[in-house]
Amino acid sequence: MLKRPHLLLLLALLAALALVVAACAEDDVADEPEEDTDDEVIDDEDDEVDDDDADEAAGDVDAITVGALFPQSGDLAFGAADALEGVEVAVEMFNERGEHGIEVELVTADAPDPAGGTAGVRQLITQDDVDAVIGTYASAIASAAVPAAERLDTLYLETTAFAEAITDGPQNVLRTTISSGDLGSYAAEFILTGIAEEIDVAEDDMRVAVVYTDDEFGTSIADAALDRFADSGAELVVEESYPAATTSDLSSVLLQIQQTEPHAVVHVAQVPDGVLFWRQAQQLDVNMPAVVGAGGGYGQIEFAEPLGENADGIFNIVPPTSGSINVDSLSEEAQGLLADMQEKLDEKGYEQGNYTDWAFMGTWVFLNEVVPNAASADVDGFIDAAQGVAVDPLDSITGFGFEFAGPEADNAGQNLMANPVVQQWQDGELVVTFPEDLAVSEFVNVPLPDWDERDEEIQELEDEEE
Amino acid sequence: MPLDLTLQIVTSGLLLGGLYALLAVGLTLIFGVLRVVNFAHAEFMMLGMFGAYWLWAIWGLDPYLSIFLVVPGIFLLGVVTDRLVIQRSIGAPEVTVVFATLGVSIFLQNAALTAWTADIRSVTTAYGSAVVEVGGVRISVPMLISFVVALVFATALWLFLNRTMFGKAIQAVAQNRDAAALMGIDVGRVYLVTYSVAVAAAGAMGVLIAPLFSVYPRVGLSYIVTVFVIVVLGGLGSVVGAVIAALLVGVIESVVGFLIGTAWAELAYFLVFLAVLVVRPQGLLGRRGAEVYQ
Amino acid sequence: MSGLTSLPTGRALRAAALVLLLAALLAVPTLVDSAYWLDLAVTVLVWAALASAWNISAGYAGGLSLGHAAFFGVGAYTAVLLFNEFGVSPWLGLVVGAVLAGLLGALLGVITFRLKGPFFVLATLAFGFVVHILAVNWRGLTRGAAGLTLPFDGGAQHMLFAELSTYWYVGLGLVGLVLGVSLWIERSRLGYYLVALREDEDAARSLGVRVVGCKVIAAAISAALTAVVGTFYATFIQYIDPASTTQFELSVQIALVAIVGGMGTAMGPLLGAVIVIPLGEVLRASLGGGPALTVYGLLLVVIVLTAPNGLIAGLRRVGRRVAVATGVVR
Repeated sequence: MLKRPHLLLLLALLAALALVVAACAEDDVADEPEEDTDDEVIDDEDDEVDDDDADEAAGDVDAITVGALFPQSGDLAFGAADALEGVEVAVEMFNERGEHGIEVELVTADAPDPAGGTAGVRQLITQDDVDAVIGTYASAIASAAVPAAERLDTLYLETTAFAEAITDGPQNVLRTTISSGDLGSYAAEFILTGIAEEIDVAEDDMRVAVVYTDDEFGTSIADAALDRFADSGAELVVEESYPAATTSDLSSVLLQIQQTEPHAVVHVAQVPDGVLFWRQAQQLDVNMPAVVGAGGGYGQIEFAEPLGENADGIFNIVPPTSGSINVDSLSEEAQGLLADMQEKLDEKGYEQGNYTDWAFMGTWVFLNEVVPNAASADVDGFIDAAQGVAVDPLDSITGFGFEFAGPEADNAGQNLMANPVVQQWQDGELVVTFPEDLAVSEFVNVPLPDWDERDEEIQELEDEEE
Repeated sequence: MPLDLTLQIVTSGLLLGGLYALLAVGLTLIFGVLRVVNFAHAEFMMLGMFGAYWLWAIWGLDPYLSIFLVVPGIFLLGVVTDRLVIQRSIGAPEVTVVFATLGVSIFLQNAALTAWTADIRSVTTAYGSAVVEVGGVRISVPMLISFVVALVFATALWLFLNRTMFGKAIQAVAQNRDAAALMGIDVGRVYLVTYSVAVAAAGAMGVLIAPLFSVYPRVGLSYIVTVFVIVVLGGLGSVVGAVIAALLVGVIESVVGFLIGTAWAELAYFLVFLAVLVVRPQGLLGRRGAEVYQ
Repeated sequence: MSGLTSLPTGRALRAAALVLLLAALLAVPTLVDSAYWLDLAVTVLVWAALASAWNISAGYAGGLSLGHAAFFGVGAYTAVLLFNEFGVSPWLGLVVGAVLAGLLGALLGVITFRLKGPFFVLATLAFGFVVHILAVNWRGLTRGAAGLTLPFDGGAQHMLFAELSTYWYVGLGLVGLVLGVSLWIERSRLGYYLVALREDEDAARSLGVRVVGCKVIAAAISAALTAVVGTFYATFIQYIDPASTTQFELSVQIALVAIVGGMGTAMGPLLGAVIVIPLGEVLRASLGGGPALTVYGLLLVVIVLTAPNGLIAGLRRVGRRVAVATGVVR
């Protein structure tokens, strides 16, 4: 080994040198923020793009590259696959129809976690030269990826992640789906109006409970619901959060509910704790007139199946999908689009899930309504063009429309028409029960029957399992 | 608080404690005898749950029957793990002792993830929600069964350790490995039996709770950390201490959860755990000197 | 090793090799023109620095910690919160975070110095969980699981760089810092005391080593350096949440990197990061998350069972053999 003092000296030099180089490299950037970077390779590429942009006139984009950023490995990959497939199918159909004379190229990057999100954005924008990034399925990853794209002056189209933070500040984002805050306040709104009316209790006399997981999904929805309740005359009797990953007992929460007898409970859960909540509710004989979930576990068949008939009447609030609404009420154009999409999915051997619909429709609207009207294929061009978007709910396969909040708004880029619907579990399926024009069924089990009034014939349930 | 509510909360806590006990007894036994903290302990429980699930999903086998297939399977897996990993780490540098089982835990968890995905699966049985009511207190039948099994197992283990030759041999190894070896005790065999029986108990717990809890690869996480708290409170190595501490933690979790809230209950018991480790590392009920790590 | 330094030719060769290595490291951003690989390279630096910092308390002082994510989180959250709430530059936040983490590390050292083996490990594990639970539930401060975004108010004065290559140079400086501290400890009296303590605490105590003092200092230095890396990570990713900064799995991975490379040596953790992180990335990209971690688990078991001194020990043996074979050393 080198004598220690020499080695130390060298290391010190290394550290100092690194800092000097860093400072030098940065100086130019800091002085001229408008200029492109110093890195030669990247510099050239960026300039090229900029030149292209300058030549283009309004509505004259003839080719763009979009990058799809989703978790393709890791724990989230399984669920995110649907979303990525939705984007892929939208791009292919757009190119095949060729209505706008625009050629779209799709590249993808893997983002298994927030660090992967930042890295993926850099790769897509600086390496693959994409004009827009489409993501992301997972909120935490989107929370890192959207600002990363903003730093590189690139549009981020969020089709499938709900986090509040995504449209709370960044100026480069268009989100086609709902935000978790809107989901939460809608859940509270539905309880204060819809459920209150059904069970014939005045809004001011309502007692409500909010139980949620302590992850981003749970807290952001619960916060919005709690805010809405605070503005009303309703009384909040239980507010409990718990870690979904390490909770093996919810009896203490349920006993609090039993003691305070709320008229309605908002429960934001994953699957295992959602199932546990209901099994323990039955064991402890805790009766709740109405329980409203907000996606997550409450929206999945793995939640309803183990509960069997006991799931009937549980509410779930999410943005609608073609699978849950009455598609006959959609416009003919939308029905045709849906049929084409399903044909394409079949062709490629893909399954159609909720996320397929949201990702497909978000991408479809971007390609058909934003890109052709953009003056340039850059963030300003896209955001400007997005202001003119107005898609009617019945023209969308998902049953919700599209209209983006302007750059001045607090939630710039948010789709203001992404209203959720009220779904209910009925016979092992989620069906839309409100609003009426999309509804496929009436409310059942409002209020939910007490446990001792429920049909004890469990035999029936077992037959279904077989 | 009304009496029946108090009783209900305490009962729920005791039942939960019963679940913890079945894991804690094995974990503390492994530590007492092998001087190894088995980070992979809850993974054997997870495998037990998956065993119960698949036997139910494919052949419709009831968990209370499949337990007789699953537990021997987990026992064998314990034998393999002990031979391949645990025995090789005995007497090795400390880093080996600590991280070998952690590696096994990561391996088993992700092998399950690879084989069965992160999907959440549930066993549905006719008695899953069955309840007996005693004086206004509602007791879940599957929880009661696992509670009884836990107590029977702990008692049997205690009798075995104290009344049989092999049990006494195990105790001798726990007290002084080298002296025991000199006395003609087959230390390797003692280790093998101890480890395999302990993880088989964890597997049994997995099967017993399958009618109630959903199974997925990371399910062990909801138990293992609590069980660490329990075995330290009870005194690492003490079977009786583990049972008492398990019931205590179950009740505390239930009561604190009801009175203060579930979010902060976890924080509270970690702080208690740290305090106990620092002030009384032999545990609340452990023998003095048990914490001396050789 | 000491046998080698006595030979002038060996020393010259080594110096030359080192200069070459430095030049190569500085040239990395120009050689690697892929953002993907440069990102990965910076990630390797983050892990190299983390594993080295962990090694100071675990490798030298023998306190195997499974709670280091706590210090990482303290560094990340302190810098981001100071910047977002008060506009304090992360360069200063870095110092504040390091001091805070150093104090926490010292506190943990004071209350755990008596604990041995698994008891120490479990105590650090519990400490890690306490900080994680706080990060998740103290939502008024941390915004809980929603996480915090570091707004890009561009500029080196805020430790926020437009250029990926700049992060590489700063990261390189960071690794240099941690490595420098490690080497300084190795050759200082503190280092000898720590090793003596690790090998035989009673004997060291009887020779007059101040056990508590040494352990606490090592714990504090290790924690402070870990926090510095946390700040760097936060400015690099510009988004932090409890899942990516304070989670138990992170603590395990820090230890894993150092152990695979070789704990108790200055170079081992660096080697570990260079091997484990790209390997993990390639495995994940080609096999998916589950299989990659399965291999990780297996790797950990095999390494601690067959080579508890890590890969660096094997590398040294090979290196020596090559040196002898080529006549550099007799």
